[in-house]
Amino acid sequence: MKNIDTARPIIILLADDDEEDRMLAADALEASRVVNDLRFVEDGEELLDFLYHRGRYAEPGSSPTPGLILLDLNMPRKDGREALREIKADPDLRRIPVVVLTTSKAEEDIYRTYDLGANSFITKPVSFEGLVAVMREIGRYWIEIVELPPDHLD
Amino acid sequence: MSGLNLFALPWAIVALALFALAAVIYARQKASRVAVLFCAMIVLVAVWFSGFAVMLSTNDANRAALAARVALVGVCFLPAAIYDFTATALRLRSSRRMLIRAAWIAGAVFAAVALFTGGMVGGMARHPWGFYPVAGAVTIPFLLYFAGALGTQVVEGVAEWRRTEDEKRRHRVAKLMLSFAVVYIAALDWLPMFGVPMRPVSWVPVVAFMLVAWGTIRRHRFSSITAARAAREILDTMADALFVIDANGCIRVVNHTVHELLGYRDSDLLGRAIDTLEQTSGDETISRTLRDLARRGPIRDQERVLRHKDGHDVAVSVSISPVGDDEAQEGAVVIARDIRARKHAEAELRDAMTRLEQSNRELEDFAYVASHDLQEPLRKIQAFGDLLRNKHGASLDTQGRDYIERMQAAAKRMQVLINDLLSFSRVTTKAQPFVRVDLGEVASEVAKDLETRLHDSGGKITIGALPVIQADPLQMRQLLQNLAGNALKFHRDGVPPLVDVRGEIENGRCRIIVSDNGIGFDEKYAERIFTMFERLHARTKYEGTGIGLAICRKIAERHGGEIRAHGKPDEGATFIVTLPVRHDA
Repeated sequence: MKNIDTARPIIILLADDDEEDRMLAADALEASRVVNDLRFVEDGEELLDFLYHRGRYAEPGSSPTPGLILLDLNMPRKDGREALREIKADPDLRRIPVVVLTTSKAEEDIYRTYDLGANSFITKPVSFEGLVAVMREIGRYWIEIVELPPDHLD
Repeated sequence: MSGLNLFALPWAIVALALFALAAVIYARQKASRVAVLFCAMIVLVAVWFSGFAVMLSTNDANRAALAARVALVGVCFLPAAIYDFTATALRLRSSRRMLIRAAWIAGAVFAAVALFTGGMVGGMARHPWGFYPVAGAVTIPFLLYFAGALGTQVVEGVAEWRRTEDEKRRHRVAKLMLSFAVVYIAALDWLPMFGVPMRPVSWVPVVAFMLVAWGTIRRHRFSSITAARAAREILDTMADALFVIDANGCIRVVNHTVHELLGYRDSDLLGRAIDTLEQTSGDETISRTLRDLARRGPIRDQERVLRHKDGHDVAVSVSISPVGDDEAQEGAVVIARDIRARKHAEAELRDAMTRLEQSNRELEDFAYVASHDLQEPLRKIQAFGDLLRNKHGASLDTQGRDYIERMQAAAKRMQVLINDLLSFSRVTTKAQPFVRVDLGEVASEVAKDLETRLHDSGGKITIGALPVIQADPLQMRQLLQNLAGNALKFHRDGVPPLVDVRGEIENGRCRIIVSDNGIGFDEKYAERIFTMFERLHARTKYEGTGIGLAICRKIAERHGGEIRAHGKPDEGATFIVTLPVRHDA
C-alpha cells in the first residue's frame, strides 16, 4: 500500500461518446471523492489525437499524458476496440493502464478486449449508486493501491 | 382305304407332322400352359387333316362320312383353342376367363353335334377328287360362332397393339395376329361344303403358318418361366442400370435402363471400356476398383458421376460385385442408381439449413442490439432519477420523491421486460444441439441456485429420480429454473413452499413433474398461463413479467414435447413437461 501522501494526482482520461454518460461519470467520481484531473474525449479518433498530441490537441500542454484511461467500447468514428489495439501496440502508450468501462457484458467483448491487452473490463452499473461505488473502487485500486509506471526510466 | 389318293397325300403328311410336332413340344414343355395350348391347337388341326386324308382317299361313302365327322370335331374345337392360345400368349388370359370357357363349351356342343348327328355334315358329295361333306343345318350357326371368335380375336389383338407402348410387345402381338391370318385362309375349305366348285386347300396355309411360326417357336421355345427368361425379365424391368464388365473393364452386357439413363444404344456400349462413361478422370476409376474387389469385397453405394451421350452429368450411386470364383475374377456386375433427385434434395436441404442459420444469426444480432440500445435510455432514467433524489431530494416533498420512485420502478420493469424478450427469442437463436443431459444433475444445480430463496422462505425442494435424456442442457436448466422458481414464488402466505421435482419414462417419452403446495390456480386458466405476458395476479402482488411459462413452453416445443398445467386454487399447482427421450432421425 502506497503512502497516500506520496501518491501524486494523475490525469484520468475518459473516452465515451455519450454526453450524459460522461456527465454521470464525472458526478460519480466527484461523489466518490476520487480527486483527480478528469479529461474527456468523445471517440477513438479524439482519444488518439489526445495521446499523440496532434489535431486539436497539438497545442503543447493541452493533452497531458494520462495515468489511467477509462474506455468505452462503442463509439463512432473509431471505437474503443480499435483505439485499444493501437494504444497497446504503441511502445510509448502501452504502459498506460486501460480500464474498459462499457455497457456491454457480452462474453466476446470481454474476451477480445483482454486479448487486446486491456487491463480490466468493467460493465457499467445500471444504477447511479452502483456507478459511484465502481468509481470509488477504481480510484482506490488504480490510484491508491496500484503502483503506476513512471514516465521513463533513468 | 382304297389305295392312296394322291390328293389326300398332303393332308396325311401334314397330319403326321403335326402329331409328331405336338408330341415333341408336349414332351419338352408340358409345364407351360402356352405350350400345351399350342399342342392342343395343332393336334386339333391334325385330327382334322387325318379325317380329311381318310375321307378323300376312301371310296366308301359311310367311311367318308365318319371320317368327315371326326375331322369336323377337330374343326369345332379350333376357334376356342386358337382364342385360348392367343389370350394366354398375350397374357390376357385372366381377364378373358369367362369368354374362353364359353368358347370351349360352345365348341364342345358343336363337336358333339358334328359327331353324333347330321347337323354339321349333312351328307357327303362325291367329287372327282374325292368325297367331301355337304353343309348341314348347324353349319351356318357354327360359321357365325367361328366368325365371332375370329372377330373377337382380331379386335382384341388390335386393341392390345394400340394399348401397348413397349416396342417388343407390339412386335409380338403383330406377329401373332399375322400368323393367324395365314391360318384363317384355311377357312376357304368351308366353301366346297356349300357347293362352291373348288378343291379344299387348307393344308397350304397351315404349312405356311408352321414355316412362319417356326422361327418364333424355336426362339421362344414356349418356355414359361425358366431361370434364363426370368433373369432377362429382371434385367430389363429393374429400375437401376446394370452393366456386366469383364476383367479389363470392358462392357459385355447392359440392361434396358442403361439406355434410358445414359442415352447410348447397345452398339455404342458393348465392348467399350466402362471408364469412358465416367465424367471424372480420377485415380479410382471403376476398372481400377476391380482389382480391389477380391480383397475388399463388393462395393456398395459409391457415389460417382457418369456422362450421358449428350454430355451432361448423371450422378449415380454404384454397387460393384465380382463375377467369377476366388481364383480367377472374370469380371464384375456394376449396378448404377440414378441419385440426381436425391442430390438435388440434399443440396436444397443444405441451402435451407444455411439460410436458417443465417436467419438465426441475424435475428440474434438484431435482438441483442435492440435490447442493448433499448436499455440505454432506461439506464439514464435510473441514473438521473438517483441523482435527482440524492442531490435534490431535499427540495422535493414526499410526493415528489414518490413520483421519482415510480418513474424509476417503471424503467426497471421495462429493463426486465426487454431481458425477458431477449431470453424468449434466444430459445431459438441460441439453441444448442441435443446432447446427453442428466436431468437429476440439472435439478440439483437449480436447487442450489435457489438456496437463498429457499432459506428465506423456509421452503424445501425434493428431487425424485429424474432420467437422462437427449436435450439442450442450457434450456433444460432454464426450464427447471423457471418452474421451480415459480413454485417458490407463488407460495401461500404463512405456508412454507414445498416443491417436488420428479420424472418418469413411458414409451420413449419422459415426463418431468414439478408440483408445489402454493396458491394454485383455477383450471380454466390452465392454457392461458402459457401465453406471453399473461398474468393471473396484479403486478404488485407477484413480481415478474409473465414470460417465464411462455419460455418453458417454447423450450418444450423446440424439443418436440409439450407442457401442461393442473392446479387447484389454494392447494397447489402441478406442471408436467413431456419430452422425447431421444431425438434420432
